[in-house]
Amino acid sequence: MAILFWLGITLLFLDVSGVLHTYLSWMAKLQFLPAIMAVNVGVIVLIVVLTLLVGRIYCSVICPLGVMQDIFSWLAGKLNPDKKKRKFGRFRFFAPAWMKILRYAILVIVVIALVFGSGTVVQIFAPYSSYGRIVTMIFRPGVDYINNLLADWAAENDSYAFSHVELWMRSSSVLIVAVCSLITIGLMAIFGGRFYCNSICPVGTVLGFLSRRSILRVHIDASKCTKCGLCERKCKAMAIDAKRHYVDNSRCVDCFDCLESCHFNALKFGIINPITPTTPINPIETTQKTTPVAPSRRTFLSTALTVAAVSKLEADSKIMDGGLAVIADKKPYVRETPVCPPGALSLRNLQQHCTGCQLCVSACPNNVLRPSAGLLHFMQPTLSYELNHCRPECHACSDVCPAGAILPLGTTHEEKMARKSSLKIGRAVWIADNCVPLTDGVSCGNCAAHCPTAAIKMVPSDPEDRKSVRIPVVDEERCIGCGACEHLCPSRPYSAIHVEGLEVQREI
Amino acid sequence: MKNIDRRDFLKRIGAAGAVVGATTTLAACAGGKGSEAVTEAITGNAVNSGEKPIGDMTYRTNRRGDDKVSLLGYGCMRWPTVSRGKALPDGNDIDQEQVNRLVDYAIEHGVNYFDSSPVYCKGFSERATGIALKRHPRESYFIATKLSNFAEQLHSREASIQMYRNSFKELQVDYIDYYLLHSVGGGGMDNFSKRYLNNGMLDFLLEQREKGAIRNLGFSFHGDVEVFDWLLANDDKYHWDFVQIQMNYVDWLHAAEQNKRNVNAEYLYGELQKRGIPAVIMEPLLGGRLSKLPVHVVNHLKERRPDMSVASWAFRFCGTYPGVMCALSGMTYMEHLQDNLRSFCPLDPLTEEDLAYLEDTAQNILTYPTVPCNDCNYCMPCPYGINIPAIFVHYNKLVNEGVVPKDAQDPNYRDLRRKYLISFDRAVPAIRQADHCIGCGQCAPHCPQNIKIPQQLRRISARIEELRQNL
Repeated sequence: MAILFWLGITLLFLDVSGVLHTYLSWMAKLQFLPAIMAVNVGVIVLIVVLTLLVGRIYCSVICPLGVMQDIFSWLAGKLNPDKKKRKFGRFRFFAPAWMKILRYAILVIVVIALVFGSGTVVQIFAPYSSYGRIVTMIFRPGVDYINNLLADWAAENDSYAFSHVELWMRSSSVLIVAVCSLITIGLMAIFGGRFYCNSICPVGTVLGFLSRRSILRVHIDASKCTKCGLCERKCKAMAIDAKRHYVDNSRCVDCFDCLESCHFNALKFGIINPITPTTPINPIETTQKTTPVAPSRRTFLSTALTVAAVSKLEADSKIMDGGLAVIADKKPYVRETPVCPPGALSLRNLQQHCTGCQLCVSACPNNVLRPSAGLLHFMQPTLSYELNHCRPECHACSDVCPAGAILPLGTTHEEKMARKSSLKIGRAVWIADNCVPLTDGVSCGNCAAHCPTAAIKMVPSDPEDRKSVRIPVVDEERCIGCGACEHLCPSRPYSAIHVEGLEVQREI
Repeated sequence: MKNIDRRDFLKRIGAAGAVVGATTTLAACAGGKGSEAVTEAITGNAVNSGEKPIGDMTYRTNRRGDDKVSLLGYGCMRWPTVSRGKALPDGNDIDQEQVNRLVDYAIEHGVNYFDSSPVYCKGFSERATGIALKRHPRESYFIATKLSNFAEQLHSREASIQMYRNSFKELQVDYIDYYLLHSVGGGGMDNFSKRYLNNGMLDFLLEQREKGAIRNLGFSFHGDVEVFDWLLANDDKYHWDFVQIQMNYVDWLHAAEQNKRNVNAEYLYGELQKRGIPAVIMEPLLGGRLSKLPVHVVNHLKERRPDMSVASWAFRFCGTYPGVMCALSGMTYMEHLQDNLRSFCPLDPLTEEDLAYLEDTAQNILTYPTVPCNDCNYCMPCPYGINIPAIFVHYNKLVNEGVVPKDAQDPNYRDLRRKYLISFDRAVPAIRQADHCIGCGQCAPHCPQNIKIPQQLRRISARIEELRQNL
C-alpha cells in the first residue's frame, strides 16, 4: 500500500500527458502540510485521528518522502558490506538529547515561519514538497527525455500515442535545492533509516507528538523478551531500546519490521493504556488562520527594465531562396510583481498556502509555470511566457494544488474556462524600444491579433498621420494577463509587450 | 568544334531514342517507332511497374533544331539535404554525394536537361549541380540557369552582370545552353523594366547569345500576363528560343479561377504554339501536390492505371502536348527520379478520354480547401522565422487525408484533434508555426503562385487555435 501511494504520487509528478491528474490528485490532497495550508479540515482531522488511533501510519504509507527513504534504506541494508548487518539489521537505538531538541527547534522555526508567512522555510522542511521538488526537478527531465524518444519512435510509426514535450530548465536555483535535499535525505536514509523523519521533518515531529499517545502502539512484552536485540537492529527509526524493553512511540513509523523479526512474539501492536482524550486541533492551524502576514516587496527586482538590450531581427532584403532565419530564444522578463497562477487569488494567499511541492509546475502542460527564484517566493510557482502563454482552455494547476494555494476555478470544464477568461492575473505593458513596427519598420499587430479579450488595439504611431506605422495600445481594464501577447511578440530575446503580475487577482 | 561534338554525341543517343529528330521545328514524340515501343512496353510490363525505367527516353527538339532535349528535365531546386548540423560552415547543406548519384543515374537514363538558378537551395544549387555535371562530358548535357535578380540591390547592371558571370563560375562551364530571365511577370511591366530594360540587361544577354556564351535565351513566367504578352509581341526582336511556363492539368483551365492574378496554362501554351516557341514546363506536378491527392482521387487514378503512379499522370499530361520541349521535375529522391523516368521512357501520350478524365480530376481537386503552395521556398527565409512552406504542405496533407476534426460532438473528434495538433507540432516546431506570423507581408511578393501568404497563415492559425481551445 505504501508502494502504491508512493507510485501514485510519483506518477502524478512525472505524468507527461496530464491524464493521471484527474485520477490521482486526491493523493496529493491527503498530504498533511498542504492540508494545513489549505485548511482542509477533513484531511487534517483524518490524519490526526488516524495517528491517535494507530500511530504514524501516515509516515510509512502516505508520505512519499518517507517511502523514498525506506527504499534508500532498504537498498543500503541489502548492499551493506557487513554480512551480519545484512542479515540481522544494522540499526542501534539512538536517542541523544540533541535530536529531540533539534526536532522541536525545527518545528518551532517552521511554526514561526508559518505565522510570519515565510513560505521558503516551510517549503524547505515540508516532506511532501521536498519529494515533489526532487521528482519534478531531477527526475522529470529524464522522463520527458524518454517521452521524447518514444514520441520520435511514434512519429516514425505514424502513431499519435506520444507527443513531443519541451525539455527545459525550470529553475536552476530550485534544482540546486532539490539536489541538496536528495543528497542530504538520501545519505541520512542510507546511514540512519528514518533519521530525517525523527530529527528534522516537522510533520514527523507533530505526528510523533500525537503517536506517543496513540491507542494502538508497538510495545515489548518484557516477560517474553530475551533482549536479543534483533528488533532493535531492524528498527529503521532507531526507536527500540531492547535492553530496556523500550519503544519510543514518538518515532515509531508503524513499519512493523520489529514484529516480524521477533522470534518470541515479545513485540505487540495493541492497546497499552487508554489515552487522555486530546482534541484533534492543530496548533499550527489556529495560529495561522489569525495571523496577518505583511507582504513586502522585493527591491532588487526593480532592476527589471535594465534588461532592455534588444537584438533586432535582421530585416535585410532576401537574395537567396529557402533556409530558415535563426530565432533567438526568448529571455524571461524580471517582473516587478510576479504573475501568480490563475486561482491563486493573491500573492499573499499563494505565499501563505504554497508548500512548494512543484505539483502545479509539473502539471502545467504549456511550460508556463516554473518555481520562482526570488527570495520571498522561493520555490513557489510563478508564470512566465517564453515558451507559451497561459492558455484559455487549461486549468491544470488549480486542479492539482493540494495546499489551497491555487483554488479550483469551478466544477466543470466549461465553468473553469469561463472563469479563467474573466480572471485578471496580470496586465500587459508595452515597451516601445522593442516594438517591431518601430524597430524594423514593418507592420505587425500579432499581440492584438491574439489577445483573447481584445484588450490590445493597433493605433497609428503618429496621431496626426493615420497612415503611420501602427503600434499596440493596451486597455488595462480588459487585459487578463494571459501572456499571449508576450509569447507571440516577434521581438527577441525580450518581447515588446510583457505582463506584470497583480498583488490581487480579480474578475473583470 | 563544340557543336559538332555535341551533335555526334546526340546522334549516338538519338539512334537509341524513340524520336528521329526532324530538321523542322517541333517534333511530336509519337512517331511510328515510338508507338511500337510504347505498346510493347505496356503489354510487357502492365502489372509490374518495377524500379527501372522500361524503355528509352523521349526527346524533343529546340526552336533552332540543333538540340535534342530529354522530355524529362531535372529541376535543381529541390536537391537532397544533409541532416541538420552536418551542413558546411557556409550554410551549404546539399547532400553532394546523393546529388552526384542522382545526376549519374539521370544521365545514364537519357536525361540531358538540368535547370538551376543562382538562388535555388539557399544559393548553393548551381555549385552542387556544377560539381555533379563536371564529372560528365560537357556535350552530354544541357545546362539551364537564370538571371535571378529579384532583390532590389541586384537591379543594377553591375550587380546583374556579376550574378550572370558567377553562374559560369559556379557551374564550371564556359557557355550556358539555356539562359532565362527568371520569373518575369511578378510586379508587372514596372518590375520587369527595373530588372531587365532600364539597366540594359536584356540587351546584354542578347549580345551574349550572339557571342555564343548563351546558346538559347528564354524567360520563365509567373503572374501578370501583360509582361508575357509584351515579350511575345516583341519576339521578332528578341527571338526567344524557348519559354518556361507553369503547366499541369489543374492550371490548364483553372489557374485564373483559383487566383485572378494567375494565367491559365492553355492560354500561355497556345500563344507559344502560335509562334512555334517550345515550352519548358515548370510545376508539372505543382511541387508534389499532384502526387499527394485526396484519397478517393488517388483511388480513381489507380483504378484507371494500376501500374502507374499518381504523379505519372501529371507528367504524361505535359508530354502529350507536342509543343512541350521538356517538363521539369525537382527530384529529391531516387524513387522520384525512377518514377518520372518511367513516365517518359518512352512517353505514352494521353488519349482524348484520358484528358477529359484529368479535367474531371482537376475540378475534383479544386473542391478541397488546400493552399496552392508548391513548396518552392521562394518566400523563404521569413525574417521572423516562420516556416511558411512547411506549414502549407502539412496543412494540405491534413486536408487531403481528411484528418480535419469538425464537430466536437463527433465521436472521432478527440482522436482527430489530437492527431491534427500533434502532427502539426511534429511537422513544424512551435516557434515557426503560423501563430507567430506578424503579417508584415514581406513574403507575399516573392510567391510565384501569388498566394496571400499572411492571410492564409492567419486562417490556419485561427483553425489551430480553435482546435486547441475546444477539447
